[in-house]
Amino acid sequence: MWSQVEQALNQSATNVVTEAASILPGAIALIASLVLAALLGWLLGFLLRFALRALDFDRRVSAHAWSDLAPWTGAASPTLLLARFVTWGVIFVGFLVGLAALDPTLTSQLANRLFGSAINLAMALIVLVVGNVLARFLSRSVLISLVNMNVQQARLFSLGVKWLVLLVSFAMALDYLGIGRIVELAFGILFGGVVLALALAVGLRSKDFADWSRSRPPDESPQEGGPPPFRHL
Amino acid sequence: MSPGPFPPETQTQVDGLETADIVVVVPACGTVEGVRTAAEATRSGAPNLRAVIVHPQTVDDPDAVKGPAGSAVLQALPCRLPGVSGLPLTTEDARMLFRQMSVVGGQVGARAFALVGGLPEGILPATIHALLHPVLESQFDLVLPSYARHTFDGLINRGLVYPLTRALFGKRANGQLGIDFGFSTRMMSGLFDRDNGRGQGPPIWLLTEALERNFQVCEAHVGTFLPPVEADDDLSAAIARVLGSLFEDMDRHASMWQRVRGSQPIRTFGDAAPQANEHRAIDVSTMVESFQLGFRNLQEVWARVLPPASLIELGRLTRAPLDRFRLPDALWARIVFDFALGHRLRVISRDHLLRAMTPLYLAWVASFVMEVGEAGHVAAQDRLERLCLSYEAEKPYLLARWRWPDRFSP
Repeated sequence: MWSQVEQALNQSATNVVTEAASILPGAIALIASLVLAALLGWLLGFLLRFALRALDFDRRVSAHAWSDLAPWTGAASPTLLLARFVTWGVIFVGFLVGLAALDPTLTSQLANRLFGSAINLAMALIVLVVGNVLARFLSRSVLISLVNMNVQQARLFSLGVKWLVLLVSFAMALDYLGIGRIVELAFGILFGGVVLALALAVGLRSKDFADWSRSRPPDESPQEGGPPPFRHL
Repeated sequence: MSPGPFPPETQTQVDGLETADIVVVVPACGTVEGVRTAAEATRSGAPNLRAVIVHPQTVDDPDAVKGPAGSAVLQALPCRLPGVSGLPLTTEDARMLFRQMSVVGGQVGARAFALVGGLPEGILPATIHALLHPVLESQFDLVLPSYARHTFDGLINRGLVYPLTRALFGKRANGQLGIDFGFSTRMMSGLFDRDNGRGQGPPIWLLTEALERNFQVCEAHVGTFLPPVEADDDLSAAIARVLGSLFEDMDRHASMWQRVRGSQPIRTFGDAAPQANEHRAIDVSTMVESFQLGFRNLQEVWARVLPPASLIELGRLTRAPLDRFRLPDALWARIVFDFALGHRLRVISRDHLLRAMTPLYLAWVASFVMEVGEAGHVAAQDRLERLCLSYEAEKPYLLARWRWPDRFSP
């Protein structure tokens, strides 16, 4: 019996080693491909940044469309945006190459699935990107406005707005990808949580404001019909 | 060919106007009494001169400008005028107004123009005289107003617009955010030439328009500042409107101001009215709190335009006790320059950038109010003069950052 056990163990060990040995070159190739792609991507991004700066690309674009686009992209300049795009594009291609080395069928399967739902995927990506930049823009807008209104919890509101927009865009993206109900449920709970947090913050702020108004000495308020303390303009 | 600034029925009236020496435009005189006041002030302030008074269409009474027999002829032109309500005027309103004035002036052959944007009670013979006399008698092209105002009024002008334009263009012209101006014919034609017929284009800052053409600029004391409507209460909107327009103009005239060093006074006409100096209780602590709140929350925005050294100095200021809260002039000047550069480079949305400046402006106001206190108008003027000199002293910093923004990027 022990000989049969030993044989079974040997066979399974051999199988594992054989499997590992068959996967290992592919895995090493994947890692090597990713490392090479990252290096190449970084190099291309660097060269592109260098070339575009030499061409004064930022100023040329700023004179036209960048002013409207800038708040929505999150990148400091058009040059950086393009360089990042190229870098990550090269890394993605490197990943696909590495994947093909790991298992030639995986890439084709991935490609089939990707292109099979390419439109949905593209829409999901667009929704995510737009959601991200919209969230940044709106949160900054809320932050600046509330600070100028002397609202102490300005950052809290700003973060709330940011996460609300991010969550909505994330849920919309998942909807495009057709991912199941559990995610929608989770999103609903999270969204509700953020709204509740904001409502509590508003309530607390209102209470603070009411307390402050009651405790404010009467001589601090501007006299009815009298001149304002001063005119800024 | 661009369409005229008047509807056909008004254009017919314009075509029917007789020759006149001056054109006086009074957008805020929307009642018969208001137009009468403006007519009387014109008659007394510019005696023996034939005038056209352009007033809002709401007054449909040709007799409103009639005076005693034998006095100089005054003609009335009721028309739809853009209101002089915001400071500075919106680009569209300003261009429409100047187009209307130019067309009327061209029709009657006027030698001088006065735009009197204040309420009728502020339109005195001395005001009309002050705005027209330098143009007619001394060949000036642009007359800017100098108002008698309380020490703490108009601080956006005193702490931002005036010191900045003085350092940039080298002219000590204080009245750019006014509503009363005098123009020569060639100045008016120049403004008209810039128009594309649709009221669009870059904002108009009269001082730079005049300096660009080497026109002569002066100031005149025109009494009290009486805007037709109260400025809006939204301080950040006002800052964004004024500075956005000014920074755009600064960018447009960069080649002009980069050559200028120091500043020269410009000639001032008339006698200054007594300054209002009544005591005003100003809550400085609220302004300081606004600044501290801004520092806690807006650093990510400020850090896009301000260098670390400025942020460190601002950090120190947030920890200063209220009685020693002072924003150094040099730091304030550099902050304004940095924001101008940030606006030019569009590091973030321009509206966000300008509105984020509000807590910093309030810090300067708090510092100024505490420093000047009850010292009076003369002491305040001295203090503002020191501020202006700091702006001028820091101009090389602006030039360096403007020319090599990458090298100095925070």
